Amino acid sequence: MSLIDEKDQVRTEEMLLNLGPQHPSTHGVLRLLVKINGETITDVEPVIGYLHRGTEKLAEDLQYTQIIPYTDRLDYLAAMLNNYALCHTIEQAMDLEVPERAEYLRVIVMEMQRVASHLMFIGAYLLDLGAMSPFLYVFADREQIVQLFNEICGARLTYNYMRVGGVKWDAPPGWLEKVADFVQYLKQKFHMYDELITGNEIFLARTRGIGRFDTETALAYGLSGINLRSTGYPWDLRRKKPYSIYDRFDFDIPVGQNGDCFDRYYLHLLEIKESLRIVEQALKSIPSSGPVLGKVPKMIRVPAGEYYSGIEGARGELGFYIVSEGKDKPYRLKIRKPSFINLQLLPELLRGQSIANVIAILGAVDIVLGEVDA
Amino acid sequence: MSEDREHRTPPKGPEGKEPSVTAAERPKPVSKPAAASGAAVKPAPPKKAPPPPDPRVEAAKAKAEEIRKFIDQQLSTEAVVETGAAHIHPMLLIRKEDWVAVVELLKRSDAYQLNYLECMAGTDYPNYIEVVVYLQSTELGHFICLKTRTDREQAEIPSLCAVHPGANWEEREIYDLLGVTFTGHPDLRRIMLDDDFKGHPLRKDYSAWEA
Repeated sequence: MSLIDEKDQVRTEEMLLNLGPQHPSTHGVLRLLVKINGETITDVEPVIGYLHRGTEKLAEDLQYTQIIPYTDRLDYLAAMLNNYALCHTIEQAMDLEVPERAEYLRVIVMEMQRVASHLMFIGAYLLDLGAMSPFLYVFADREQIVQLFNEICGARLTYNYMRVGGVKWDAPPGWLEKVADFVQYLKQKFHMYDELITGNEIFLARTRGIGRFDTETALAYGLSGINLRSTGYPWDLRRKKPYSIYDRFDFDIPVGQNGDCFDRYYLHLLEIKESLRIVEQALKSIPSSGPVLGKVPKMIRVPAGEYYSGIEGARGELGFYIVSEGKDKPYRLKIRKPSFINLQLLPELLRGQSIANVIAILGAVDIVLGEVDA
Repeated sequence: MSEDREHRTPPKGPEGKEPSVTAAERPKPVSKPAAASGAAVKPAPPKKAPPPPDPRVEAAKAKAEEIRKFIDQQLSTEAVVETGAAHIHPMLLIRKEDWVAVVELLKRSDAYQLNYLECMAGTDYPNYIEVVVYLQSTELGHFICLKTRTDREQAEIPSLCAVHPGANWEEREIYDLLGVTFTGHPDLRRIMLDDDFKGHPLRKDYSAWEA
């Protein structure tokens, strides 16, 4: 007679397990207070704020251009997209025209950034699940993107590349060709990742059907990005509320079917492919020369009023809400942080699950604590 | 302490009109002493013609008015205090007492289906604290801005958690950083700062030294 058969008679005690804040799989400094009964999770309480730097408060004392480097430090795996989200909101507010070549350069760096960020997710997620080698492969490929960014703006992680009305630097000679080469290279590599990971039986066992939620829950909790699309809902702001020049490109919005961890992994992989498609098209049609910074007043003053606009970031909808009095500094700046909002669902996802699934589910939500805590 | 940390006048709406501030609250216009000296004053340069109204703003205002009529019919004629435009999006200022009812009505109604809470923010103004939500209808494409206001001293607003569960952490953040109590919130605690932190940093009169 085994103990498991007599489940009702086995005495279990509720236990409090403290995960983090310094835990390698929490992607930063997230602390989870997990209540477990035997191996089953009864409740989870995420504790955040360890990386809170008060970006929103600091921004109130900064001129608009000075805020851009602060956005680099939000989601530090996708700094280009953060740069753009802020500049885009200010441009909308001021009704500024952005030169063609700048728009193309922006789209190229943003999609390359999305690729880098998604690669990082795949590597880190597999590492969370115990697979070491994918992490090394993605880092080698991501390094090439980081090098390309280093060439165009002189930084590897915190780029500060975009400006209100365009970008700071034009691409150095030969840079666009290097990007084209890289796109071709990664397209071939794509199949390797697919074969190495997607069909792996251990990986499938750990992720299929785990951490499922449906579209209704996702919408109620305000989830966005891949978390929402994994439930089969094609919500991508590049299509739903087109910004920049995304309406000129041909690309698909991959969606999941089950809303489980596997779908969320696989969508990251598929989106890399779509981003590469966009970069390819942009490289073909980018004007060969021209200004990269529009006619922008020396001192940027947003007209009095309030403005909100969001873009499709690497982790979901990244938005900036600005209240302006018409001065050179915002009266209030609020960041709609996709990681912060996506993380809210975690207790719901973990309740009733086995303790062994905590890391698999947390990893697939794809958070960056720099953004969660802002 | 720099002047920037002091209270500032409320920002004007995008159309140059002040958002509804009652006459008593409105800052008095600064009198011009130079005007009294008469002849010495140069004639004012001819004013530039005002720019033509933005059709997007006009459309947003019209839509806000349309939503107001809908709320008047379905709920109460006193729920909507003011309509206008927040940049190019329809904006409605809602009475605090009807805050949850209006958000719920717009979520459940077939005509609007505002089912997705896109952004929630709180702002400290000199005489009140304003909470704003941007709501999106994922099926019909409507995108509107709703606002409500509360007193600064006893900041209190009903919680939206029952209608939009996603408002949970957003409201905790506003409670933490702006000191607005959300009545009916299931778990109202500080989220970014320590539990024993004093003060609410996003308030304009917050000072790290005094706290």
